[in-house]
Formats: sequence, C-alpha cells, structure tokens
Amino acid sequence: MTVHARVFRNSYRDSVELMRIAAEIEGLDGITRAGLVMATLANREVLQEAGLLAEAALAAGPNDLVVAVAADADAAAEIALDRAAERLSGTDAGTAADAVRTSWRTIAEGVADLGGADVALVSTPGTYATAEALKALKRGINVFLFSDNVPIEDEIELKNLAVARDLLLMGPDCGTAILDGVPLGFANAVRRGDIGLIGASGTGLQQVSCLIDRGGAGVSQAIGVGGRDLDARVGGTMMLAALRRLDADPGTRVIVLISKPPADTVARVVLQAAGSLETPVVVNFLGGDPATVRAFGLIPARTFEAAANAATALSRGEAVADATAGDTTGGADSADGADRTEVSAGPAGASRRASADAIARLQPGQWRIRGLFAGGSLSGEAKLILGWTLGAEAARTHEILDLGDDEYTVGRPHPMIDPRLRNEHIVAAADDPSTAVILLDVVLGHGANADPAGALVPAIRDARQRAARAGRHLAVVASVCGTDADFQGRSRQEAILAAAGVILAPSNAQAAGIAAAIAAATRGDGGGPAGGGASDGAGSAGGIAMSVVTGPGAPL
Amino acid sequence: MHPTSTRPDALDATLVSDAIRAHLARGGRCVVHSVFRSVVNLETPGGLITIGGSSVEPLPHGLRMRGDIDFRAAGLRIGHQVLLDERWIRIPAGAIAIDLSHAAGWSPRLPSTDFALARTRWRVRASDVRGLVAAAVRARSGSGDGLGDLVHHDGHTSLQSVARLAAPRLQRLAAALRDADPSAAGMAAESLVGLGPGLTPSGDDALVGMAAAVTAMPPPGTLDATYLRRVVDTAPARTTAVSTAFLRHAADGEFAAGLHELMAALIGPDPTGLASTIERSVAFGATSGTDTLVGVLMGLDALAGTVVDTPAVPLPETVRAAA
Repeated sequence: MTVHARVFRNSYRDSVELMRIAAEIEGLDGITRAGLVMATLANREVLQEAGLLAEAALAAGPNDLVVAVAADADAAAEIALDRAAERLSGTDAGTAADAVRTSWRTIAEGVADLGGADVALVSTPGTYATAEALKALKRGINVFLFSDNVPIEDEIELKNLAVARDLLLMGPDCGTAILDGVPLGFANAVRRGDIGLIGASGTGLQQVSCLIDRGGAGVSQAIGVGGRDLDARVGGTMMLAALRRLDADPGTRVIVLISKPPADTVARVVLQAAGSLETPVVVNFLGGDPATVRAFGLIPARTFEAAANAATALSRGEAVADATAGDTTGGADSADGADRTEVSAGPAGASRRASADAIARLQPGQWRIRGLFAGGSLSGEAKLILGWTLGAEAARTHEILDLGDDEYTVGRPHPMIDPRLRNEHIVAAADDPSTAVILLDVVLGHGANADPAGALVPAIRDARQRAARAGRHLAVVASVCGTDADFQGRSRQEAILAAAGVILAPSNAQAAGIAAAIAAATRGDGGGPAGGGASDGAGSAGGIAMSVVTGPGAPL
Repeated sequence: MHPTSTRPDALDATLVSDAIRAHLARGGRCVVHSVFRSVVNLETPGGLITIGGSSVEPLPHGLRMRGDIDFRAAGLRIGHQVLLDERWIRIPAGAIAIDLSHAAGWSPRLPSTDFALARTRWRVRASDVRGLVAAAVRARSGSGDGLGDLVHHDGHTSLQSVARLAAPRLQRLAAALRDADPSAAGMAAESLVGLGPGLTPSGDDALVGMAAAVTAMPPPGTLDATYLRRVVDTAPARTTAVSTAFLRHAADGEFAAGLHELMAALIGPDPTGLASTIERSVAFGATSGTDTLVGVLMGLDALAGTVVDTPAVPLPETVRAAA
C-alpha cells in the first residue's frame, strides 16, 4: 500500500464536485481510498485517521486543496492524481471545471511554484501596493503596477530600486502593457513584430499598437511606465530604463515613445538618451515641439497614427526622417504658432461622401463638435487636432470630453466598460441646436466592453431622431481602436457603426480631422460662433474643408 | 479569456446585505478570490464579499443580482482586479459592472425569540424534528464524509472519520453552551475549526449552526455568539477564507437567509413547512446543509438543557464515553 498526495494551491471547488471527483478516482484500478479536502490543520487529522496523510499535505495551507490517494502501487496512485488534476484544471472535456486556476497567496509562493517568474502584476489597493511591488523587485522580478493611489514618493523609491536592479517598474496606475506577446491590463490583440513601444499613456499605447498591426507590422514589447513617469519629480526614470531595455533587445528594431507633454527638463533628458541609441526612435509627445525632437536626431510624430506609420515604415526598412513631413500647412512653424497638421488622404471614399452629405444636410446654426471620448489620450489628441486645423481660439469653442476622467467615473464604471454615461451625453448633445458633429472613440481589447459599438448604436439612433424632430441632421464620426484579433472584432464593430450611419475613420486622428472639416465647412454657412475665428489652414475644396491626417500608405 | 455570449452592459444588484454596505461605501480595489458558475467571491481588505445570481440565497457577506450570470463563462479568474464603490462593482477583465444603486437592503441579523417561549417550542417539536432530519439525511446517505453520520447512525457500526473526530468536540461545545460558559465554548469551538470536507469544512458549518441557535434563542445571562470571536481571530490560518467569512458574521449574529428560515420553523410561532425547510437545509451543498443542521440541533438541545439526557443527535455509546 502506498499513499500519494498532490496539493492545488488556492483551489476553491464546489463540495459536490469534489465528492464526484473523489468517487471517480476511488473507482480507478488499484486505488483503495481517495480524499479531497482543504488542507486545514484539522483535516490533517482526518487524513491521518483515514490513512491518507502524505508529506505533501503537511506543507499545504487552509486555502489549498489536497488530493490524497491510497493505492496498491505508485503508478496507480500517480494515474489517479493525474486524473484528479485533469478534472480540477478543466482540461478534461467532460467537465466544466474551469473555475480553478492556480494562483498563490504570496509572491514567494508563486515564484517557487512557477520556478522562473519574471513579472509580477500588482493590483492590490494602493495602500498595500508599494509593499508588494517591493517584495517582487527584491526578488529580482519586474513589476506591472496596476494599482493607483500610490504616493509619488513611493513611486520614486520603487523606480530607483528597479533601476538599481536592472528591472522594470511599470506604473503605478499602469493600464496597458504587452510583454513577450502577453497582454496585461487593457490591451489589444496585436501581432508580434519588431517595434518596441514605451508609453506613459494608456489608450495612446493601444492606438499606436493597433495601427502598427493594421499596417502589417508588429509589436515586440509595449511597456507602460505610468502617467507620472515624465513628471519632473520622477524624472522619466522608467522611460529611460525601458529605452535601454529595448535598445538591447535583439527582437526590437524600432522604438516609439508615447507621452503627454513631459516636463521640459525631463523631455530633454529622455530625448538625449533616445538620441544616443543605435535603434531608431520615433517620438510622439502629444503637443510637443517637433523641432526639439529633430534636434536630438529623432523622428517626431505629432499624432498616434503618424507615430505608428513611421514605425511601420522603419520596420519595413524604409527611411523615415520626419513623421511630420506630410504637413502642408506649416505645422509647428506656422506664423501664428498654432500647430497644424493636414489630413492629406482624408477619409476614404465612403466616409468622404458621407462627410459631404452631412455638411449638405446640416442646418444654419449647427457648428459645434461634441467629442465624447472613453480614452483620455485619444481625447487629448482630438483636442490638439482641432487646434491645429481650426486654430486654437476656434477649437476652444468646441467641446471635447474625456468621460473616463475621474470627474465622470466617480461612482460609475469607466466608459470603456459601461456605455451608459456616454450614451446620456450623446442624447443630450442632440438636444443642443448648435451641435453639428458628435465625435467618438470606440476602444476594443482585453477588459473593454464586449460590444461597444452595439452599445452605442441605440443612443446614436435616439439622438438622430430627436434632432430630426427638431428639423436637424447630426453627423456622427468615430474610429475604432482595436484589431480583428480582439474578441470584439474591429471589422464587426465598424460594420455595426457603419450600419447606423456613423462616418468611420481608420484612426482617432483622422476622425478628429473629419469632424474638424465638417465644422469648418459649416462656418461658410454663417453657422459658427460669434468671433469664432475660423482657421484658414485647412483649405477648402468642394465645400469640404479637409484637414488632414496621414492614412496608412499616405506620405508621412 | 472573454465571454462570447452577449449580455447586458451593466447588471443590477437586487439585494445587498446591510453587513457589507459600509464596506462597499469605502470603495477601493480588491481581487477575485474564487469563481464558481453562479457565484464569485471577492477578497477585500474588509473580508470576503460574495456575488451571486438570483438562485443564490442571501448571505451575510453577499449581494444578489437580478437573473443569473455564468461567471466562469464570463472569463473571470482568480486574481482579477475589482473596483468597488458605493454604487458600482466593476470587474474590467470580465467586462462586468454591477449597479448597486437599486438594490434593496437585507439585514442578516438573526432575530431572537424570548428564551422561555423558544425553549418550550423546541421541547415540543424536538422529537418530530429529529425524525424529519434523520429521514432527510438518510435519503441523502452516501453524500459525503461530513457529520450526517451522527444524525442517522445506528450506534453500532464505526463512524466516518470526520464524524468520529468531531463528535466529542461538539459535545464539549454543547456542554459549554449548556453551562453558559463563553470561555469554554470558545476553546471547544477552536477544536472544530477547519475540520472536514468542503469549502466550508463540516466543523465550521456546525459552529455556524450552533451560533445560530444561541442567537435565535439567547439564554438568560451573557452568553451570545460572540464566543466565536476567539475563533474568528485565528480562523484565517486554520480554515478556508470562505468559511472564515461565515464564522466572522456568525460571531456578530449574522447568518444566511436559509438559517433565518430554518430557525423560524424550529422555534418560531408557526411550524408549518417544517419538513420542507429541513429537506431544503439538508440538500444544501454536499455536506454543509446537514453539518449546519447538526450544529443547530445540538445548540438548541444544549440551551434547552437536554444535551445530556436527550441529545438531538443520538451519539453512539463510544462517543458519549469519549465526551
């Protein structure tokens, strides 16, 4: 007689299921007794009484499940334990046992069990997050710190420790990363490739990675560094560390830096470091000065799309000197200082026709763009593009809301998950007679709503009907940030929006450009706000002032 | 990792235990502790919170939703991030958002009955109850190595391991309750923690049952379920997290709705439906329902002063001697 046992850490199963498994393995050849119990101290006595106490059970804790068998021979015992493991893991087709996944109570347990973990994801409340991150770093493990409310002093300490140990501390409040093809937090299913992304901007990273995927290239690593990394107090510590890491990575041939505007002093340090690397670096500091980036020998890109296109071209081996080269309106060098970009390709045929149709149907007095965004960085990019295309003063008369901001999400889910808040805003916008365009982002991927487009459509229809009753038309412009490999499916989501009459753009920047073009065209009808100061930068052709966003394949 | 079936964008909670309202209002982040088909447990700094569908009974640490959602199919996994606040529970990885704003409150506090009145009712009903419990347990015989053996055991054959280990400890606890000795009750209770099969081991279920008896039929003096607090302090190291949650609330006189119903049938004014209530109790889980019922019966016997002479659970002679 031999007794064998196996421990399943933190396994929680319905008692009926455990009994069924015990009965099944007890019926196997050569098995005389089987028991599945939680490994409490008291249950060791039970196992002892039953003649089933094996050494493995002694090291287990009260939240661990121990499976013990008494058998005629070692081989029979191991077969029985394997069967139990199959049943518990849900890999056996005959069960629905997918609830149990091995997880561990401490980082130490996880490392011991996995025998080679190199990333810990910390998502405890902020109060405890620093301690957990410290434990991981001290064990030589990189940290993805999803937790928010981590004091900046702790962030500095953690990042300094990470750098000293040649590790990454991604975060805090880090929403997105893709490491060796594994998505962490909110991320999209993008193909693997040789472009490394480093971002202090969650949806910015998502947008760039999706557009790279769409352009046929892929991502080696996407490293989130946390929104405060380029704050003067933190000093870009982790962006610098990630740069070094990707420069040394043989799988990365191009690097893209993405951030909201950093502190000037930090920007210079980061740009200097990037400029000293052998790997080409594309820099997208939203609203930053391309000339500064160029001065360090780097490639400036003023939109997420331009950054993705530049990186994709570099990945293909094409030479790219400047991702703002396609600007035809003077860009940052324009006389009034307003940064402008061009939508050189403009919307594709169907969208272009839809835009023209929308402009024709808008009534006098309809001029305002209402941007209702789920992604903070995407709303920031839209604001910039309105400024570039319409002029800063005119842009301020439009409304671009980041509905994922704390101001809107206190007490309710993020709009990437729950569409209701945004739907309320869409309907309310329709009641304002000045609304001409509703501008939306639709973010797909891990963690996002299962059908974000489908969830928006009823509100869009409702808004259109309300406007129609008042004799008005409403243009709705959107872009979908995602890929066809995302579980929501980009093409499927776009088809749902197109069927609802939404004007689709392949990127957030192009969507903002289309909205700006429509708004600019309405001014010709005298519908603009008093003193709105329409920009002349967008030009006008055939009634559509098409400002500009470089599309895939279009000149950078 | 993601659900393929369409489901509502936000789910409505219909019932929230008063015992966790304040905890939710504090907000913050926590993680998924365990996932079952119709139940998901959240591990929060303030203890476990259980979310269940409409078929799940109200729990002292739980909230109930309209309809049912298959949490496994929704892709929820242990360790997933959960965001809590006064109005919402959000689990981004499963694209789940539960709206608490329309949920009714439910008090898990078990009401007490005047001791003399309850004791009289119990003495009148105890014999019938024993018969009903024995019949219901026998009908489910072979359904697990819990304490059920104590209820329908013939006194001659050997007891299953768990029952044999638990019996003398239960007797010690019953004696402590009879003597209204919280200190002895606490010590006896400790010896039962974590004993037996299941997510809520049999010994823990019996402790919850006994605490329900004490809460519903509080004897004159100072004895109440707080003797369990001694157990709760050390429970995290001695039993499962799920069980710890039940014990913690039991120590505060808070119990699942099924126990409210059972106690009302046993010592309330109207015993109508006693048989069906007992059958439902026994049918709960693999052994948990029966194990809890054993605790309730032993507790009522102890408090009514019949623990030695006419125990509801007819222990075998060997066990009586050991006790």
